Order: sequence, then C-alpha cells, then structure tokens
Amino acid sequence: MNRVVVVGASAAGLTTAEALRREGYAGGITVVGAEVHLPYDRPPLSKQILSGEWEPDRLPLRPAADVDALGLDLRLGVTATGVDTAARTVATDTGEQLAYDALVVATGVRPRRLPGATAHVLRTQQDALALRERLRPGRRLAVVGAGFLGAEVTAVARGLGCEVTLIEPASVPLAHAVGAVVGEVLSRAHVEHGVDLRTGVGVVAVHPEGVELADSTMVEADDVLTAIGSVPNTEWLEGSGLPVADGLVCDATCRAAPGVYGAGDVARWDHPSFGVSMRIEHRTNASEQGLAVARNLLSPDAPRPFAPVPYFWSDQYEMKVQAYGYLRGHDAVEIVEGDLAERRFVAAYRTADRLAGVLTVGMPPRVLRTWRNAVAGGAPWRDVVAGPGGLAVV
Amino acid sequence: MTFHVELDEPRCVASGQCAVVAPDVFDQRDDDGVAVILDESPADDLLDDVREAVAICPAAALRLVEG
Amino acid sequence: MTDTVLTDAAHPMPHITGYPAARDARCPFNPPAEVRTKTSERPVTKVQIWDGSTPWLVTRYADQHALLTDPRLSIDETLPGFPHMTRGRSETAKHTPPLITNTDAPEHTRLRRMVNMPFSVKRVEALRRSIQKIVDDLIDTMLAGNGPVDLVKALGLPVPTLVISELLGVPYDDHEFFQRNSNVTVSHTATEEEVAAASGALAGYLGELIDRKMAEPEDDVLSELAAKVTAGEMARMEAVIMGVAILIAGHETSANMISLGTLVLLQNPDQLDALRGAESPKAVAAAVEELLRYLTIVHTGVRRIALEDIAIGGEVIKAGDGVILDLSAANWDPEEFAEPDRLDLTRSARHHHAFGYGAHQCLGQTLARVELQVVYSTLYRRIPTLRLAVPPDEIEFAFEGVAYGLRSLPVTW
Repeated sequence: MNRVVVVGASAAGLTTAEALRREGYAGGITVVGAEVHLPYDRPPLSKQILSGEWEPDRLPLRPAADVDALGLDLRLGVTATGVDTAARTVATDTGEQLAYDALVVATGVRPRRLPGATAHVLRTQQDALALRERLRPGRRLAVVGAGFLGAEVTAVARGLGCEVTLIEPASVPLAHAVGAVVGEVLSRAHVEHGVDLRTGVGVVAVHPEGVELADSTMVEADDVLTAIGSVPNTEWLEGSGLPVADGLVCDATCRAAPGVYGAGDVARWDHPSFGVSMRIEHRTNASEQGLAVARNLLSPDAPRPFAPVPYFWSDQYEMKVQAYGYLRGHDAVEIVEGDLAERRFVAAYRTADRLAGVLTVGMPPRVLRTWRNAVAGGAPWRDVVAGPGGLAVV
Repeated sequence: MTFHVELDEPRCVASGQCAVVAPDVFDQRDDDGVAVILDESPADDLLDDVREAVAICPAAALRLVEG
Repeated sequence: MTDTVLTDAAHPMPHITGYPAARDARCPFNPPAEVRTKTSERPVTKVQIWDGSTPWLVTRYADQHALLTDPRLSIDETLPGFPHMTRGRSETAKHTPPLITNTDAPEHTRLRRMVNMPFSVKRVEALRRSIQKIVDDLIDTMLAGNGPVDLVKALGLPVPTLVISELLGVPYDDHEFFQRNSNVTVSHTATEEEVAAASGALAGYLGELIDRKMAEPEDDVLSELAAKVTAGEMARMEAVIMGVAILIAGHETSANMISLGTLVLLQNPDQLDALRGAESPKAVAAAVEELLRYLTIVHTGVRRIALEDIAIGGEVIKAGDGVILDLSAANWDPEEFAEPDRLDLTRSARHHHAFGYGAHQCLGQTLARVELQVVYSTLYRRIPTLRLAVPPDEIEFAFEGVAYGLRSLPVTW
C-alpha cells in the first residue's frame, strides 16, 4: 500500500495523517480539505474567537512548518465530489481523480439551516468572524436552538452586551440530550443573565427583520444565528455503494468497506462497549478516531475495535459543563454529588442497569477522573446509587 | 532584633527556589506555584536560609526587613 | 571570528572582538581567556556578533545580577536590534508565538505561572523516587554488559528523556519512539531534515496525546496542558509547543551536565572521592551547585535589548542597544567566586548564574538539580572503578551549540 487519500483536513484528517507517519508509513498521503485554511481547532470558535479574546492566528492545530514536515500532498480549498470504490478513485471539484489504496472519510458535518432569509451559522473560522463582527453592545441577536452551541453563543453575546433572544422548540432546552432536570438548571442561567428565553415554540422562517415563530409572533433581531444541529457531509459518497445513514456507517473498527474508513464527526460506528451505533461530534473524538483509523488501516488483518469513552465540554457563562459517556437515550438521571442549585454537581445517567455517562458542572478534575473511570468500567447502576462511598472506591 | 519577610506577589515567577532553600518559611501555591510565606517572622536560626532565599529569588520578589 | 577590529564613530573603542569566542582546547572547561579578561578590564563592552552588529557584552556577576532583574531590559526578540544567537533564530523569531522565552512582564508572568506547576518543588520532589529508579535501571544495564560504554548514550541522554516522559505522561509503550526522536532533535550529527522530521513527529505525537488527555486526564503535565486548552486558557497549538519545549529544553542540557560532570570529576579524583563519601543530601546538593557553576554549559550568553538608557559598569547602554550576558563569565568572576578555576564541591555556589537569573531563569532548574543529585550520588558509588576508556585528549567536545557538551564519553570500570 502506498497511496492513502484522506478527505477532510480538520482534526480527524490531520490526526490520521500524523499517526500514519508516526507508525512508519512512508507512502503517499493526499489530504483533501474544502476549507482553504491549514487544519484548525474548532471549539474556540464559539468561545474565545467569538468573544474577541483570541485572534484566528491561535487556531491552527499545528504550525505550518510541522505540517510541511509530514510530507503530505495537501489539497486545500478542494472539495471531493465522488468516489469510485471499484476503481478506488476519489473525484474532486478540480476535475482530478485521486487514486487510493486506502481511503479515509473525514468530511465532518455542516450546520443545518432554516428556510428564509440568510441567518448566521457557526462551523468555520469565517462563520465565527462574520458573527463576531456583528456582536456589538445593544445589537439584537436571535439564536434559534438552545443546544450546547446556541447556549455558548448566547452566553458570549450577552457578555459582549448584546440583547439576546434564545428560541427553543422543546419545552426544556437540551432535555433530549441531558434530561429535563439538568436542562432546566442550564437554561435558568440564561434567564438570570437577562436572556429572553422562549421555549416550546417552533420557528417558521427567518426574515430580514427577525424570526417568525409558530405562534405567529415575530422576534425582531439585527442578526439571527441558527444552531439547530448539523448534517453529515456524505452527499459526495452517493452512488459509491458505501453505506450511508446519518453518517458513513462503519463497523466497530471504523471500517466502512474494504480499504475505506471513517473518522470524526461524519463517521458512525458500532461502539463495542455501549452496544449502539454512534456518531459523535466531539472534538476529542475526532483525534481519537483518527488515531484508531490510522492503526487499523495499517494492520487490516488485526484491526482493533474503537471503544472510547465519549467526552465533551461546554463553557456557558461561569459554568464549565463536562460530560463523559453516552447520555442519549438514557432511562434515568440522578444527582450523585454536589448541588443543582449551586451549579456544582455530578449527574449520573442510567441506561438499562449500567452507568452510561455523567455530566458535571463546576467539579474539580479529581472528581471527574473518578467518574470517568466508573463510566469506562461500565459500573453497575446499583453501585452508583449506593450513596456516598458506593463509588468512592472505584 | 526581629525580622519579617515580604513577598511582592505580582513579581513572583513561581520558580520555587525559596521553598527549596527555606522550606520552613516558604511554600508554593498548588495551582500556579506562586510563593506563599508560611512564617512571616522567622526565628533566628532560619534567617541564614531566608537570606539565601532572598538573594537567589530570580524575580527579586522577596525582602527581609527589620522590625 | 575572533579579534575583529572595528571602529565605531559614536563609541570609539579600540578592541571590539567577535562573540562568542572560541574556547581553548587545552583547558576546555574554562571560559575563553579573552572573555575572562573583559570581566576584570572592561566588564561592559561591545562585541561583534554573526550579523555584524555590536551589542554590549556584560561579564561581571554583580552587573548581570542587576541587569537581569531590570525592567528596562527586554527579551522581546522581535524588537529591531535584538542580538539574536544565530541567523536561524532571527528568522524563527518573527513567527514565534508569545512564549515564556520571548515575553516580558506582565505577559511573561502570566505565561510562566501557567506552565509552572509541573516544575514546582513539591511535584519535582515527588518524582525523585522515579528518577532514582530510572538511574538505577540504566546503571544496571551498563553493568550487565562489559565496558567500555559511551556514557552519553548509556546515561546522559536517556535519564532526562525518561524523566520527561514520566513528567509529561508519555505512555510506556511509546517510550522507544519518544526517545529515538528526541535524541535526533538534540543530536550533533543529524541533518537539518532529520531534525525537522523528528521534531515534527514529536510535536504531532504530543498533540494527539494532549487531545487524548482532554478526554482521559491523568496526573501529568500533558493532562494539565489539555485542561488549559479545554479551559480556553491556551490554544491547542500553544500547548503542543509548550510540550515540545519542555522536552527539548530539559534534554540536551541535563545530558551535557551528566557527561561533563563525570568527566570533570574523573579528572579531579580528590573531589570525586569526597563526593562519593558525602553522607548528607546537602553535601551532594552543594556539589551539584558547584558543578553547575564550574561548567556553566550555556556558554553563548543570554540575550536582551535595552528599552531605555541604562548606566552600568561605567558605560551607558542606549535604548535599542542589544545586550549579551555571558553566564560563564559571571560564574568565573573572581569578585564573586574566589579562585573560580578551582573546582571546590564544598563551596557555597548556589547563587550562580548557570540557570540564568531574573524572571527568565530556567523553568526546569529544580528538576535538573534533582536529576543531577541522583546521578552524581549514585553513579560513582555503584561503579567505584569508573574511569575513562580513552586518553583525555581524545574526548571530543561539542562547543557549537547554545550549551556545550561531549559528543561521546567512553568509560569503563
């Protein structure tokens, strides 16, 4: 094997390329990236970049010289348009056919949009800078969608002195993801910070003057951000025969077909210890999965299942939210440490009879580590609810 | 004659050398290593160590003053 | 390079010599004679460096002590007139992000406090046991074979890398990769491409490790850097650069001190005997300080630029002038250290400038001290018959770097 093509030049794609080199692979690596920038870090976009604390020069994942040292055939500003798995070629919008022995699909996701006038979205550097340009004291911002991204942007915009209306069709923001109790606590922070929070109301359309809600009221705004989730970038795989269903469908070793692997936000795979098909849009997962793909790609006869403990963090106002495990589809939530009212707590999530995940706010690293180990070890739920000391020994 | 130790905290670069040479008088904060004075008026038998700590402090952030 | 004579109309000075000056191969541990002469005759004087510019050279201990805590001197290497070490450094300085090595207070204070915890005295002391085990294991390996061995490869280089692996939190499985590549980055024989490839591979590796430790924190430095990335206190790239800097900065210098210290002790058998018999940790610690002073391996001067006029040593350093502070000269200043040519492990030398002085004093000094204390108190006791395997004049020095050292040190027992 001497031709690897990686489509996607963000965290997952770059990590895959780096890990291939480190594992001693000396053949060609072509990395195709739709954005013109060298690989950069996305979590700061909705945090330090949007707030103006950082300039974009702090975003690159690696200094340019280090990327050079990898000896990549780096095609930035180029979009993959199709793949022929029989001929093993990737077509690009520059009209090229890139031949591969192994293909890594790491094309990420793009923001879902609403019908109507153009609203801001937040995925790329340009998106963040365009929105930041507009966030001035007194400006009115409407944020559609009170998920983690919408909540972070709301918090930053309030910090910059904007008037913010946060619109969420569900009656409790984030309830589907973290449960109603925790969702309620997180959303209360918005109200306390002077956000006009509208829950339980759908959005009909975005107009130049604001957002039209399903109850036919109009939220007037100078700018609108839609943060209503994302769509995996898999259109270019259509007709390739590769399995696509809300992401590229991979097995437990992140392999979608012979010689084809998926990594990062776009990849769906069977998580061996949680026993579900997952697709995770978390920053650290992109790196971990890139690493796993590089290893498995180089050892196709002895592939290892990819079994991470998913992790994400989110900064909202003075709160640092961190979560381990797989919270979606949980059966029950219990506050096992701290105090909801003080916004210092650990919430444990039960799926069937095991601890599936934890979400923490304002807890010190030592506490987090203990809980992470409990999730990683698949701790039985009865140990979790055994009360103080029940898990202290984990 | 009594002496006491003063720390100009904003200057401290947390090199911790005071805590090496006079561990009974100085410590370092856990989160960022900034010096902490444990004993503001050290006993006479500690003064030599304290003088050395003052002399080697790379940020010139420590002072031993009389009174 | 040496003995270039220039005349400068504004500052007529008879002898502007080239800097750095070459050491005398016959007494390689001594700072060059022409630099030592300046300490006594012209402690603040102009020298000419690689780009033809003529910054000030400060060689007296007391002057350095004053200047290195003087806020009128800046380490901002992007300022025009900064006396860069090499052409390469002057090029990279333009693109280097703010680091503890190129910023002044208050930015420097903020950055330094951010990266300081791993080097706190408590944290380093907690590593002492692991460091002892690392040294013991390496000596076991030496003794399991037959001499001669190259002490640079057998002990000098591996001790600091293994210690740094431990500190950073590099998984044991990756030690071989880590050691191989970091040795290339400090090698005196590798090509520029090899060094670039190795440091690129290390940076990539550390970046991935930081990403992993964001999700799976442990009790180590990379986990702390990762936590700073998720806290938004550091950009991810800055954390990687810091990780690489910790690795490289602590590697070559400690390695050089281990091998040079052994060489100088073997040439001073009475001092070696005293060290071998030293009972108290204080005596060992004092010996380390004296070896640090005597060897002062960072021998090409630390560099600064004046922000305002500064009167010192009978001269006026003008705003915008470059300033070079030769640490070895200060550590051999007879006004501060009596009989500086004499290695005296019992002298009180702890205030030396081997780690520099001022806010930019070596971040890893506590770690370096513990490493050296462990090595010097272990090696010569475990191998009392340790001796050079070649005549002393065949030992090859490497003088060309920022820190001088040995290419190899063949020893037997």
